[in-house]
Order: sequence, then structure tokens, then C-alpha cells
Amino acid sequence: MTGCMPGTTPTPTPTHITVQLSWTNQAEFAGLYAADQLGYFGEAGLQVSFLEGGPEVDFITPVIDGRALFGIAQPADVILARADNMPVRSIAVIYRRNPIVFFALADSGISRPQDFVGKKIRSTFSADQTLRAMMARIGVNADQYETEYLPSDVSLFASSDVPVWAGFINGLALEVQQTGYKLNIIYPDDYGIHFYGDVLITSDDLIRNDPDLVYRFTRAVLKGWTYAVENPQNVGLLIQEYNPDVDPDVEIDKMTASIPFINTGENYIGWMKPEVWIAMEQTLREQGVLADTLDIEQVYTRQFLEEIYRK
Amino acid sequence: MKLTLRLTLVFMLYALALLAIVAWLAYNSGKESLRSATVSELQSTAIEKQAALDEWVEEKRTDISSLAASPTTLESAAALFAAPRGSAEAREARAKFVKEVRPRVDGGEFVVVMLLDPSNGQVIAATDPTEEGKFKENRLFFLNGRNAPYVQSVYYSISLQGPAMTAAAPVLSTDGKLLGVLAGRLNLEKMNAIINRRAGLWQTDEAFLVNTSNLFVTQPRLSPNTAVLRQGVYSDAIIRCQAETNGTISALDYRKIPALIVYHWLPEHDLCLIVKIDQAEALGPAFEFGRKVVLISAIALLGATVLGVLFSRGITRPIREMQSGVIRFGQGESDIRLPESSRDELGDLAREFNRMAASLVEKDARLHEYATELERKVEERTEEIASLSRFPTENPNPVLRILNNGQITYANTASQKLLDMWGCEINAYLPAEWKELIAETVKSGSDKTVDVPCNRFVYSIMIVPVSEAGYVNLYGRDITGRRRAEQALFESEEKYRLIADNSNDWIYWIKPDRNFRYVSPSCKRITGFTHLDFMTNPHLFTEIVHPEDRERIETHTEENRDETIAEPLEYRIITKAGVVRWISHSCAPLYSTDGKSIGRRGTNRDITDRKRAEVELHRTLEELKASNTELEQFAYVASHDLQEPLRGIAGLAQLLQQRYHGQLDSQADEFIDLIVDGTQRMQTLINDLLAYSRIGRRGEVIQPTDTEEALKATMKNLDVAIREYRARITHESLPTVKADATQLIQLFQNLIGNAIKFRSERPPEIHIGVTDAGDFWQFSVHDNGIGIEPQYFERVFQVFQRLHTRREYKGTGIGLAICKKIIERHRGKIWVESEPGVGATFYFTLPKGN
Repeated sequence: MTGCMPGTTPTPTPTHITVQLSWTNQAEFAGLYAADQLGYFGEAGLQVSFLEGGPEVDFITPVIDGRALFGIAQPADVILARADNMPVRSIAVIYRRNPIVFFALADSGISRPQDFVGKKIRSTFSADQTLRAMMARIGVNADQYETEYLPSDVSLFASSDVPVWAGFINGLALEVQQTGYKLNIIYPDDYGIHFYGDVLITSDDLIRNDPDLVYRFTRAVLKGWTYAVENPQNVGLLIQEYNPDVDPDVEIDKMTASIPFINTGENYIGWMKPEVWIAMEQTLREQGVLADTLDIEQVYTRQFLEEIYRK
Repeated sequence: MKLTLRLTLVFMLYALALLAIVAWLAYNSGKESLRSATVSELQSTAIEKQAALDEWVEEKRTDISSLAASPTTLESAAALFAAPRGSAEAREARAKFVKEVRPRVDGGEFVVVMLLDPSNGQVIAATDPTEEGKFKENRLFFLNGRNAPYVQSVYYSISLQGPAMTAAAPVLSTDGKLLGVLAGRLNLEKMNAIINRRAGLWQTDEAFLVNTSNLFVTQPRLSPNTAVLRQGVYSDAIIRCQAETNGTISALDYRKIPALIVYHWLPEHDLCLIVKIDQAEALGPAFEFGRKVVLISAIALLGATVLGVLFSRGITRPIREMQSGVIRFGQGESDIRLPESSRDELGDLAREFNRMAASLVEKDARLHEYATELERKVEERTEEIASLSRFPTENPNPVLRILNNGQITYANTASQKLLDMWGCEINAYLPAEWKELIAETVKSGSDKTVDVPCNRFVYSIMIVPVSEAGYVNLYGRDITGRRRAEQALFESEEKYRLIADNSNDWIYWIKPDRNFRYVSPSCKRITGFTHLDFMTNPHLFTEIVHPEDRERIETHTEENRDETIAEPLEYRIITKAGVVRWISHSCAPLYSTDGKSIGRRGTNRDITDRKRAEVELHRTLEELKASNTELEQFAYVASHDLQEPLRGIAGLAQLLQQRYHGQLDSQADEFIDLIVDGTQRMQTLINDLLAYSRIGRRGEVIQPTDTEEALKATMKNLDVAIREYRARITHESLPTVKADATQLIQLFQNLIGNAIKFRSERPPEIHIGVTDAGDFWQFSVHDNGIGIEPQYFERVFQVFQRLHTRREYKGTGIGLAICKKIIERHRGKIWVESEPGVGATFYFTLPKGN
């Protein structure tokens, strides 16, 4: 079919794609919602739906088996998946500083990783690698502490027998503090763990077979994130469209807290630096999480970022 | 629009334009100077703040540098690194170090002071114990502070979740060995104080720093929210500043309020310094000035309007006086004149008016004269009309007007004969039958013409109803002469009709409306229908046509209505009795003397007998042809098949003659001789017959052939005979003909051969001549031989017809038959003329060859 109206480009039927999120719908993915609702996906010829993640959701496999074309994951997951010969690759980084922190009540006496020894730690699929790397960094083995997967629920934090919780500084940690709890927060960044936070991933197959689709999707996502960073006050209602249970004001606070993680003041939004990937791979290897040396070039590609920012 | 109003408006608009320009210039110049004064002030504030910031940072660099170099720091650091981790010595050394540097924190120089392991950036000791054990291995202050004193500009500290600045310097042993890195986190309140310091009396002035991530580094004074490193700012000034430029713009600020903004890029710190003030405040005096100017302008405008009204009234008063004079003049007071005292344009106008008024009075008088003249002309015209109205009276034809009820209201002189006939006078009523006629005509609403005989005269009277007027006009015309002519014509027509009626052919005249005007009675003899049958049913003409010919005849009558048909058309009819008859039809259009079509006349002749004869002739001809062909075929086949057994008989007979001659009795010898002779003759006969039948069957191509060449070839063939009988052959120059060359030679050979054969006592003299005969050449072969009796002129050309016995002349008698057949094949003719005892001449024609 060809267009007949002069001066208009033909609008092809949008390609329907699915994105696997690493967590439930919330401010962590504000840029994606902005891209969806402000029509950036539509302009790119895409119709996007989101698959929610959760504490026990494996969000790498769907991207490989085709249930989703793209996903949001932690970089350590990508490295380890790659080491297991799973053909996924990071195409952009959303959180250029890792917002994962560990927290405990201020009067619990837990204020540093060394205090985790012998304790139960609430972790998640994505926090696991950070935890293990951090503990290894200070010389603590994985058998010296216990991890437990629990939902992201503020009331559980108070009621469970788990004293140390992993969570996003702009997510769960913020919610807990807003509920009124005083916390000690342990930042992995202070213990030599400078991992990236959320990265955007896709499969090698898609990169090879339809690079244009990957380019269009990535460009729309980064445009959405730019909007979210510049207009945090507007993201509350955007998020509510996907999750009616959220409090828009809380989501705006989370977004505002996320800005320094996304827009760090260096380079462009989404830009990845090889040295960070090298350091992450090295850290995982040093801490025994990764058995053998991995060619870091397999883990990520900057071809789409270069294309987007060259234009 | 009244003049007064117009003048007033002009004054007002002029004043308004003048005031607007002056006020606009004054306001703009005031605003511009105010703006540049404000900008200068903002710029000096920015420069002052930049200098203060630089000075503060430099001071911190010096502070950390001197602290790192102090002997006590050096000593405690050395002790700390020397002691094993976690040992009592180490704890002691740490306490000592903290004690050494604590005054710097208490004094407010730094928020926290730390000693870092130069190998991995781990905090070994710190004034804040929670910092101990953390790693700073990737921080710029650690990486740079290992080499030289360094202040890391504002950055986002993840653990502080806010901005931080840290100064660092290497701790070097006396021998220059790097022991550790001393780091002190700066108290940003100092920086905030520098940036937020305010000097002037402004209400809306504001200064802040923004980093390259578009985040506020210091709290903007007018923002109600905590903005530092939380809120992004993307105003025009920030975008320009991040391009590492300095400048000033009037634009919307981060609150979307118009502001005067000075932006300075601070390359040392990778920060943008913004100093700004709301436009409403900065340019407030200018706005106030503008308002005053508008007020004064309004007052001035009012004054100008009043002056305009007074002035325009002064001008318009004399004009109004003049206007009143003009109105009175217009109402008829023609002696009114305007005062001419004024010397200005109004005086001129009054004088002009007075002159015009005088001229008008004069023209009025002249108009009166014209009116009198016009009256006279009207009278003349009336007389003319009266004269015209006599026209009908003088008309030599009757003209009458009759009311619809039959009363005569007018009749001209020429109507007298009619009035006499009716026994009426004007105003009397017409006779009853005429009343009826008038009523009928009025009712129909259209003209009616009737012929009225009146004594010796005949009138054609046209009755024209004029329904709206309630009367009819009668226009009569004397048609007595025409009637006589028509009578004469009728009589003449009768005469011709008589002739046509008695014609053998079926003659008719059909009108343009396809009805017959005349059909001669002879049609009954040919068709069985009477002329009345045709007159009452015009379609009968085509209905009786044979179905196979009908379409042709219909097309003919449809298409050729106005043409004369040269060739008669032949077709069949079926008569009333059902018999088929052949008709030869011819027809032509008829026109009246004035050229109008009045139909067609036609003649149909019965040609059935001729047609029958033609058909018979054609049939006989065909039969003849077939029989001829059959015969030729038979002759050929017969002669061809006869040859074979004959040859056998002849051979055996000759054998008999040779072997047994003289051995049998003399009668047997004679019989054998007769058999041999008979078979030889029969062979000759058969050969001749074959030759004859071959002419039409095996002829060669007919093409241009030279007759002279053919004659030469003939003479060569006849050479022996010519010499033997001393024949003399002459010829004229012979032409080229279209002929089969072989047959032409055969032709000559037969004719010349005959001429020699049938010679007289004299030596043969033969002459070949030729004459032009149109498309043909006519040849003649003349001899001086024995000649032929005239009764045999035809017979000589028949097959095997001999005039003489075989004893007198040899031959089968087929030669001339062959000649005839050759000539016929060439579409020519052959004949003979002769006088017995004198000679014979054979003529033949052949088509010309060019």
C-alpha cells in the first residue's frame, strides 16, 4: 500500500513489541512510560506493551525466547547470562549509577557490610550480584550470610525477621523512609562496587536481523527518559496509567531522586563507557561470581548509541 | 461626514500621531538606559561572585595542602600506616590523627577530614567514624590528590544524596614517599553564602549555580522547593551558558517569569553562574514613566480636540450661510444672490455662484422657447398620424372591423361590394351565417381564411380575431384572376391526365406526403389492382413487391427521394392474381415553378416477357458451353485412346504389305494397300483432331509477340513447298500482338500453306497485310489461288469439312478449324472473302501487343 495524500508519509501498521521489565510498574521505568504515552514509540512505528517483573521473575530468558523483544536488566545479570552463552546484549544504560542500596533500621547496629555476617538479607534477582560482589570486596564469603527473596512491601520490612534489605535508594528505601522509619543505608558505591544500574537489553538475533527496529526503539526510550528527567513533576500521572495503585506524589519523589543516577552530568543520557563494563566484569571475576574471563565486547554494543547521538 | 467633524478628527489624529511617536521614543530610550544600567549591575555582581568563589576554592586548596604538610599530620599518618590493621597501635595512631585534625572541622574549615590509603583509596581514619572502611578509589579528589593539592568541584555524592566538594593533598614523607592522601570535604554553606550574598535594594534579584547535568548546585532564593541537585533547569540562559559562553538575555527564567539574566560559564569549576532579576522590577521605573507619558498625552489630545472644534467652526460658518442662500435659490427665489464681500476662496465661490445663477435664469428663458417649439411639432405629428389612419380607407382591398357580436364598426370604401352583398351598412349586424363564422373564429383564437364569391368576383377574406379588444379584423383580397388561372390549369391538367390514362405503362405521381396524387389506370393491367386501390392505400405500392426485392425498393424510395435515377430499376411484383411479373421502374423528382418539391413521378413498365426471353437465352448459352466443353473433352480422350490400337493395326498392315506383297492374289494386294492407306488416313485424322483439341487445352502463355518473327519462322517451315511451287510471298511491316507465339506460327502456316496448296495454274502470289482496328490489328492473307464459293465461307472453318476430294487435294480438312480456334482463343475474329478463280483473302484480328 502506498500513501496518496501529498505531503504525508505513509503510516505503516505499527510493529507490536513487548518489553520485559525487571520490576513492577513504577518510577524506575518512567522514561518508558513517557515514550509510550507521549507518542515517541508511535512515531517510531512501534506499539509497545510491558511485562511486569518482580522479585522472583527471570527477566533475561523472555528476551532470548522471544516472549519479549527488549528488557530491562542489571548489568551483572547480563554478564553472567553471557557467560552462560545466553545471547543477550546491553544496548544502553538507564541508571549510570547503581541505585541499589542495603538498608537496616538505624537502631539495629547494622551500618556497614561487615555487620551483615550471620544475618538474613532480603535480596532480589537483580540485587544478588551487587551483594555478593560487595561482600567479596570486604572479604566475606557467601556462606557467611543468608539471602531471602521477599516482595517489595514496606509492611514486610517492619514485620519480617529479615534485618537487612536490598532496595533502590529511589524506590523501596525511599518509601520506607517516607513511612517514618529511620534507616542506616549502606551504599555499594562506598565499597568499590560501581556497577551500572538498569540497562536496556535485547537479543543478538534481533540486533542481527532487524537493527533498524532496535535503533528506533532505543531512540524513543532515550527520548522518553530525557522527558522524564526534565519534567519529573509530570511522571506521577504517567505511571498511574500502568499501575493505578501507586501514589503519584511518591512516584514524583522517586523520579526526582533518580535524576542524578540517570543524568550524571557527563556524556549523554544512556551512554555506556567500556571501562565501567570492564570493571564490572573484573569485579565479578575477582569475587568468584564469574568463573572465567569473558570477552566484554560480547556484553554490550554502542552501535545504536553512536548512531543516535551522531544524528 | 460633516466638515466640522472631519477637521476636528484631522487635528486629533495628527496630535495623536505626534504624541505617540514622541512618547514611544522617550519611553524606549528610558527603558533601554535603565536596562543597560541594570545589566551592568548584574554583570558586576556576577564578576564579584565569580572572584569570591575562586578565592574560596583557592583558600581550601591552600588549607588542605598546609594540613597535609604539617609535621604532626605527617607523623600520625606514618604511625597509622606502619601499625597492623586492627591492632592497638593502629587504634592509637588513628585517635592521634583524629585529634590532630579535629580543630579544622571544629573551626569550620572542613566538614570531615579523612586519611586515605593511597593504594586502594580506603578510608583509614576519619573525623566521622562512619566514613572509615569505605573506598574512595575512583573519586577524582583521590586520584588527583595523590599527586598534588586538588579541589574536586561540586559533584553528587551518592551517600550524602546531595552535593559535595572535596579538597585533597598528598601526605609525603620527608624523603618524598607517598604515605597517604589527606582529604577534607568542604562546607558548602560558605559557597552558598557567596552565591546568595545580596548587595542592592532589589526585591527579585537572585543568583545560583547550575552544573552540566542542568541541576541546581546552590538553592535558588526564589524557589519554594528544595532544588539542589534535584531539580533540573532547562531555561534558555542555562542552555547558552552550557555552551561555555558568557552573556546577557531577556528571557523566561526557570519559573517561566520574564527576567534579565546574566550568565557566566565558570570553566575552573564546570559550573554555570546565573545572576538575574525580574524584568518587572528592573524596568519598573520605565513602565511608570510610560504610564505618565500616556496620561500627559491624553490631556494634550483633549486640548488639541477642543482647539480643532473651535477652528473648524470659524471656517464653516460662512459656508453654512452660503448653503442657506443656495437652498433658497433652489426653492425658486431666482433673484437671490450671495454676499461677495469676502476676498478669500469663499468670496470667489460666492461670485462664481452668482454668475452661475444669472446664467441659469437665462437658460430657463430659453427652455421656455423650446417648449413652445415642441408643442408645434406635436401638432404636426398628430396631423401625420391622422393621414396615416386614412390608409385602410384608401386600401383597394376590403378591410372591415366587426365586433365579436357581429356588428360592423368599420368598413373601408373597397368593402362596399361585400356590404352590398350582405345588404348591410356600418353599425349594422352581419347575416346569421357570418355571425356564426365570426363566433367560431373568435372561439378558435386563430386566423381563418374563407373564399367568398361575390357577383362576378371572388374574395379571399382573412378573419383575424383580436380577442383582447373584443373584435375581429377582416382583410379581403380580390382573387378573381387567380381563380380563373386555376380553372385553366385544371383543364390543362385534364388533358395530360387523358394521355397518361391511356398510356401502356403504369404512371404515377406521388406527393411529398407519400400519398399518390395520380396513378394511371394502366396499373390494373399490370398489377391487377385499380388506380383507386393505390390512391386509397399508398403502401400497396411496396406491398406488392416480391419479398426478395422489397428491401431494395424500400431503400430506393427512402434514399433517392430528391434524385433522378438514370438507370431503370428492375424488380418483381406479385399481382393481385398471385402471378410474378417483372417491372422496369424509373422515377424522378418533381418541382413546382417556384422550385418547391411537389413529389416524384414514376413509370413502371411490364418487362416480364423480355425477362423470360433473357432467362431462356442465358440458359441455352450455358447449356451450349457445357456441351461444347464436354465435346472437346470427348474428342481429346477419344482421339488419344484411338491412337494406340490404330498404331498396332497400321504397323501390322505395313508388315503384311512388305512381307506378302505379290505372294497373294492381286485383289489381296489391293485390299492390303487399302488397309494401309486407311490406317494412315485415320492416323492423320486422329493427329489433326488431337492438334485441334490441344489448342484450348495446351496453349502457351499469351504475351507480346512479334508477328514478323512468327512469319519468318513460318516461311522457314514452308521452305520446301515455297521453292517447289515458286511461291512469292510479300508482306507489310508487321506489328507486335498479344499472342501465343507457337500458335501464331501454326496460324500463318495453315493460311499460307492453304494458299500454296489451293493454287491456280499461275505461280502462287501471297501477300500479308495489316490495318489498325482500334484495340486490334486486322491482318489479311491474300492469294491468287482457286478461290472459294461464297456459300462455303462459313463451312471452311468447320472441322473435317472439305470442299474437294482427297484425290484433288490432300489433307483432312482441319487446318482452318484450327485457325478459327486459335483466333477465338485470342478473342479475335476470322473470316474469308473470295472470288472463285481469282483468289481468296483470309482476314483475322489479334489484340495489340503494346
